[in-house]
Amino acid sequence: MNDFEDLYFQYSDRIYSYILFMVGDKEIAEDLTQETFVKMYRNRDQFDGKSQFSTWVIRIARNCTIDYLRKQRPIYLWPFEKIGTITSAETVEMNVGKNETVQELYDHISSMKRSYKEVIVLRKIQELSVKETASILGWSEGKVKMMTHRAMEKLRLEMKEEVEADESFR
Amino acid sequence: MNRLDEQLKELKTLNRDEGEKMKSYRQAKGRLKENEPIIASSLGRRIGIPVVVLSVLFIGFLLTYEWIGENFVPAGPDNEQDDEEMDLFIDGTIEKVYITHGGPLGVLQDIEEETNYVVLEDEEKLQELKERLNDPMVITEEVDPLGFGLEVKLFLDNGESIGLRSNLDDSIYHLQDEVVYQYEWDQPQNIMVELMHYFIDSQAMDTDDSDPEPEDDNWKRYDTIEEALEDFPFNISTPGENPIDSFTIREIFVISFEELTSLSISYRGGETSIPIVNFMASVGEVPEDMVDRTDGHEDNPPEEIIDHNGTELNLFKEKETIILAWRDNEVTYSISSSELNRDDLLRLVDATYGDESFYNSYGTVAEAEADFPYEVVTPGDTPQWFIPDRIHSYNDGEESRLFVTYRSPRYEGVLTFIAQNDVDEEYDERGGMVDLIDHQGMEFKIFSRDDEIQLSWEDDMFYSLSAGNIERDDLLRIVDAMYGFD
Repeated sequence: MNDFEDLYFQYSDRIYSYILFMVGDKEIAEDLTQETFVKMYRNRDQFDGKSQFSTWVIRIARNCTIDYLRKQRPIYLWPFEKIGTITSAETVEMNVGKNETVQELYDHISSMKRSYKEVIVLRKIQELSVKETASILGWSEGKVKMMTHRAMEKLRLEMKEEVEADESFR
Repeated sequence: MNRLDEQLKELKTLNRDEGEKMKSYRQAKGRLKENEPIIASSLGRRIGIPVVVLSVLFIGFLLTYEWIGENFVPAGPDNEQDDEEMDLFIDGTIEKVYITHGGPLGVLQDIEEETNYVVLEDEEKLQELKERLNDPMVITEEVDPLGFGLEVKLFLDNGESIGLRSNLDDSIYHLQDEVVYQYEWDQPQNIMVELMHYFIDSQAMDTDDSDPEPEDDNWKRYDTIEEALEDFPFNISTPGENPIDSFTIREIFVISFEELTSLSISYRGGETSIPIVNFMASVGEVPEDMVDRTDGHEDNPPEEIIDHNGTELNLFKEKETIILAWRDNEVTYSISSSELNRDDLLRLVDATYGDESFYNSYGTVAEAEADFPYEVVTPGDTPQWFIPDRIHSYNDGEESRLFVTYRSPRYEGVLTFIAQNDVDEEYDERGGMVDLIDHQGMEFKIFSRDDEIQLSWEDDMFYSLSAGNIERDDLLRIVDAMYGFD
């Protein structure tokens, strides 16, 4: 069991951060992190060493997260046109404890569509390679490059618009 | 490296409460010791749903085969003693499975080049898939399959890959050394069909990137409708726990939005996890910035107003979604779905008011045919590349209707077959007839409505076949198969 402790404390912060980006709720992120490590440890003999261990654990975390998100699909409320997703209030705003710009980055990334969010988190934040990201997302390497480019363009645009909006008030 | 990239790295590890981290660690360790099932306990309590995967996908699969040496051979009494020496069909671990649809078998070699594929990577499901593919399997023989169907490619940890495909009949085909082997079995719901459901569900997930942002958090989730109704401040009707077919509850909420209180129920059908119908009943003052669909607002008039058993229903269409909205005294109701058609939604309205005694659901088309009060010709259970999705009949003593919807991995839409003893004039009056053709000595009306082709004909009963994204010749081929025409 000691190796579980080692693995948990070596990787769990990273896994927690990945999941938190995806679900936007600290308590749920803790639960899914826990589930990820239980699954990882129970299936540790399946790790073949062909990829980095962290990549393998992130893949498990992603599966756990997607299973959770599937169960949280929004309910559409149709008689009235403006009511939308029902979700946890914590999703809307969360202090990530970083400086203002990084907090803004977090907010922008959190509000992106899932595919953009995932590719930015894996490629730019978790710093995985194109190949590792492709393996986790089940995409071709070309698609990873293309989606990273598009997601970063969108992020840059949103950050720029915010800066310009701030400056216009000065 | 630019500044944005550097800032992004700062998000690699987000601040985490040390107390929560240690608590999570202790719980994980405890679960490992106790060998609990994979359920996040606190999460499960909070949302009322265990966090288990969609394991129901893989139920009811039976294959028998024997693998001896380099080739498959028929299973039989003479070979039973070889069981202990039997090699496994899949020796390694399945790392991932690509699922797509397409044409000739050779496409399997280039499945990664397809743009429209789904990847299955859930480790539990992959393990289950492996176990089932390693079950005993019957005879294979060399065949030359044609046509379109579901294609699956298994990627193993030893670097090998295995391609399988099915035309959604009762067979799976496997390409090995450029020879096509056919696997036969008795189960109509084979594993490829289950993978097809996964494919369709996943595609529906992926297209859902435009979810609106949350606007209100004043809501509460319930496990049963009864519990929700106890908390709901008004008397309302609901379609119940199992309104029609194999529908089951997915989620129940009571939501308050300013002065408006709503009960929302989503249903799923069959083995799919995705909600296919949403029901809502609302009471209270509608906020100013909302548009009430039951008001017949000038800017958003209904596409159709239906007089259904004395109740006026407003029918709206939003892309693929049909919405029925109506008012009953102080309660505003709506039922919406992007999967079901108008008639299905009307059945749900009936279920809301407790009138579903005229409806019957069936597991197979053959059962429905046998129970139908008239001689009827149907496309059967596996027309071309389609499989039945929902099968039901309506019979009130005067009007009898058999209704089957089919799904296929090739088409995004649904193939709908209807046979009825009386013509649906209301439906016909909607117009859109584009052709009248003579085919095999019978007269067929071709309609084009809402991006859908409909084929109607009369043969003692009134029949119609309709689908989107389909050619009329494909519909005629199904008719040919129904009547046994060459």
